[in-house]
Amino acid sequence: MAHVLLKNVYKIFDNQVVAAKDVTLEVKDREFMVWVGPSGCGKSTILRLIAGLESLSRGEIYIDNVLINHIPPKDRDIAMVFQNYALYPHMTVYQNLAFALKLRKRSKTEIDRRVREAADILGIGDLLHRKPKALSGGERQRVAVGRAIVRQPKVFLFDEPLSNLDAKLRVQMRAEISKLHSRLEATMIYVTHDQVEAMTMGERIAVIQDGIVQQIEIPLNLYNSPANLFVAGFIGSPPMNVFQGSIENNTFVGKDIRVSMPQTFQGKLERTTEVVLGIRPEDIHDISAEPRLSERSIVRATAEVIELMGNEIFLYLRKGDTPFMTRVSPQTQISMGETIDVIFDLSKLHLFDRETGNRI
Amino acid sequence: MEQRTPIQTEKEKGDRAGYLFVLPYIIFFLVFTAYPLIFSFILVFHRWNIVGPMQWIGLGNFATLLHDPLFWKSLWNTARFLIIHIPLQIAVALVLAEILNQHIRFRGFFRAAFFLPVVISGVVVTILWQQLYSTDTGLINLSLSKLGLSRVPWLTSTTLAMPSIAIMATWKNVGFYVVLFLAGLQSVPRNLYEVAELDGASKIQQFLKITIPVINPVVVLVVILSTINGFSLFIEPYVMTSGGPLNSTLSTFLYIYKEAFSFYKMGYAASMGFVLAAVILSVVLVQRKIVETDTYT
Amino acid sequence: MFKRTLFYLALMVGAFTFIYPFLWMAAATLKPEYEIPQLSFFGSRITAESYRLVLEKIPVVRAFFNSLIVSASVTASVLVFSSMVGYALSRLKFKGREIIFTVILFTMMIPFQITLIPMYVLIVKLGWTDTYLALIVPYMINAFGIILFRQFFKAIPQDVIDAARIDGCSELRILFQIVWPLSVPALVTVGIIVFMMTWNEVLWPLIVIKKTEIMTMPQMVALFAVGGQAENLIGVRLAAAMMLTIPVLVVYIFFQRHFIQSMATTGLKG
Ligand SMILES: Nc1ncnc2c1ncn2[C@@H]1O[C@H](COP(=O)(O)OP(=O)(O)OP(=O)(O)O)[C@@H](O)[C@H]1O
Ligand SMILES: [Mg+2]
Repeated sequence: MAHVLLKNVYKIFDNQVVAAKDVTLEVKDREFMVWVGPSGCGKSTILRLIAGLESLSRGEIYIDNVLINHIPPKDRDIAMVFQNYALYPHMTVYQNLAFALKLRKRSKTEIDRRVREAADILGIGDLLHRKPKALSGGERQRVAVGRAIVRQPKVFLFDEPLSNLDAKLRVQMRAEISKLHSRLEATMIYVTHDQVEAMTMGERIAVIQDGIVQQIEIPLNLYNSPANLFVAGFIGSPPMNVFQGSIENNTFVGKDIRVSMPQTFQGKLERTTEVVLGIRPEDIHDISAEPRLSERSIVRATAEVIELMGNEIFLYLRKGDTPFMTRVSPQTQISMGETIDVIFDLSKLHLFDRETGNRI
Repeated sequence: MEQRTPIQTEKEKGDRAGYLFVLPYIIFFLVFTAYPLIFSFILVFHRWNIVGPMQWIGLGNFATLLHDPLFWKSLWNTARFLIIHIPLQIAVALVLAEILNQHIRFRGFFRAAFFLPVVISGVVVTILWQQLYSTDTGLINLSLSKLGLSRVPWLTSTTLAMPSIAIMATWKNVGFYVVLFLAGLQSVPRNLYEVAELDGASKIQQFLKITIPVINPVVVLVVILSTINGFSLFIEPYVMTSGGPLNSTLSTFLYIYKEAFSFYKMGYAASMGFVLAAVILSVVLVQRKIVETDTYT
Repeated sequence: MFKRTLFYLALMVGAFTFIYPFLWMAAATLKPEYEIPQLSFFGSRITAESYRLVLEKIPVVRAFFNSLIVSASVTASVLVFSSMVGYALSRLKFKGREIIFTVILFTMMIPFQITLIPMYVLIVKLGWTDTYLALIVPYMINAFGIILFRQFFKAIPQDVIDAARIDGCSELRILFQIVWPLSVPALVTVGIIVFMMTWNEVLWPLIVIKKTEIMTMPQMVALFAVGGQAENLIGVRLAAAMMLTIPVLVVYIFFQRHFIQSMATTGLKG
């Protein structure tokens, strides 16, 4: 039912901070889109622009092809869930849920029906007569979500709704919000700085940094082909290994590491180019595990730190002055200071332009 | 390049609400602050009895004022009031606050008791004290004569009347300053005293060397507030003595009031108001210089 | 132990000094006139004669209601308008906001000795002398209230206000339905101080009100004490003073903690 379009949106605050820079982005009808980025990158600001809580400096925002730049928040038919819940402390849960409907002059019976419906969905039926103060963090969060769903808005905006919850509750609520999305079939925009949340919940993910949208993709593509160095480094934990160097005769030459280029890159990079080579820790294998790889490059390095994670080992290696890390199977026999031969899976290499940071 | 909408500054909905919300204040300010302020500048150069036309006399009002013995007397009276009132008030307030700051029971009750005269109308307090001070029938003099002492002409002697008023004003206001001091005292870190105790400082020394410097900002505040309040001394002499005997309790503000609203010398009264304001400002500035230390800044 | 006793003794004497005169006054108003200048606390009999005389001589009940009307109107108005300005200054963006704030700070430093006479002239020109308007309108907004509200409102989470905006509140509704319920301490503080200041104000009414029917209570009692109406009767004057005391006293007894805290936190005397 609802489709959100941002066109060349800028937000420049009075103190000259640019929180959104030429943001162009489309959220499809019924899509669950996650925006992720480091703290201060402008996620909240852009969300608040859609909500109408901040005015645009430049650009256009459409909901269902209607320009909403000048429409006040209450008439945009959106609902927002805040990180700090933002419940009205002096109202009971019931009043909190009913407030927006009351303002819209809905009938008493309709309000009651919708409040109870929302409370049922979220399992907060027993809490309706409590004040927010008497609720746990998780319960408050449910009420905050409930306040959004009673409205039955075209678009849901979530601003880091789970970041104040403890880890266990966060996982649980994550699943519930995803379920809610499929149940309500509404358009949702979900802001987080937690890439795990982003990867597990988002149908598509927009990565934002310094007010600029870096890449919009489905989670898998984002992981497998990050558009630039920032995305490569931000998505994935532990982060991707990166090496500075250049391409010479189809071989990557770094300070300490040389890796030959796979078939796909050959021919494209004949002249010498300054590049950054990226490879994810799980794409570097222990040679003794005898991985079957069509294209590979062997690097001998020294183990500096060994972190046993139980189901795997994080191995921090060093070759010369160049550190990198790999995730290997827990069976790997290695102790600190030993040298080990590891294999780079060449089909999983990422190359970035050193100047622009963009993917080659 | 894509086509761009022009830059919009924050002049949208929020702006309009903002202006709407401050509009009442702006009107209020223009009518009840700006206008009187400007008009007072005009008024001081005129002779005016509010009914007839205004008559330009240049600096005439200030010239009159310079040679008006009553104006100077009233300033002197106000000064006499302040000289007694401020130190007395600070001393009493500090002592009471220090006592309240100990571990005592019923602190709330005592605090409320000291504070009681603060909330009661000055009119009541004055009528009451007029009775207590009364030479022949007053409670104080009755008690004194019962003790075999002679009666004191509290309000009928030109030398004593103003000090009597100052004592009464202290009684009325001191509770307020007790509360201010108490808040100040409670902000003094306990461990400062513990250290001093180890160094062998006596209680008195601790009070002078630790308490007073730490609460210096409160002292400054109290001095300034009681000065400003003292310069508007009005209802007490108005009700109690009408400025007598022999104008010995005529405060500057009471004098201004009489000139303006008994004799309708608007221009002259306004000029005196100006001079009085200037005096207040200078006194406060001087006090700040003297009282304010920067031990803890 | 001895020291402790002495300590409490000193405190009792202190408290006594502040309370006893009022008790004496209360007792005196119930004595026959000729017994008042005697040291004994109680008279030979209890009589309401002094009160009867006051009621006979001056319309003090009327004055009480005048004071109530004026104080209540001023307080309500200050709460509404000062909080509106305080809200705008802390929560709404508009050009000139900081200038207005500076102006407000500046107005607090103008000594009233300068503006009093022009204010009177203004009231005369407006034809408001001897009306409630003269007593109410010049006090309808209060700079200290604005500053206190601004300060307090700054601490309210932005999210709650945003949520209300999205839920469909106008700014006015946000102020009164969301921000006000969250600002009860500030409202109480401003309310108490303004009410007290207005109730006890006597100079301004003396200047702008001459008609007995419009006089406020402190004004009427003051004029009664000063003028010849009391005919040198002590009991009558004290009874009038007592009647002026009782309303404030009753409120004070119930809300003394709020009174003291309000004035201590603002540094303002009623
Ligand atoms: N009202 C404002 N005035 C000035 N600068 C602001 C304002 N609000 C936000 N900013 C700045 O804009 C930038 C983006 O802020 P924003 O809150 O959108 O970041 P965010 O991505 O949501 O961060 P977080 O993950 O910490 O919530 C920050 O640098 C912030 O300091
Ligand atoms: Mg944010």
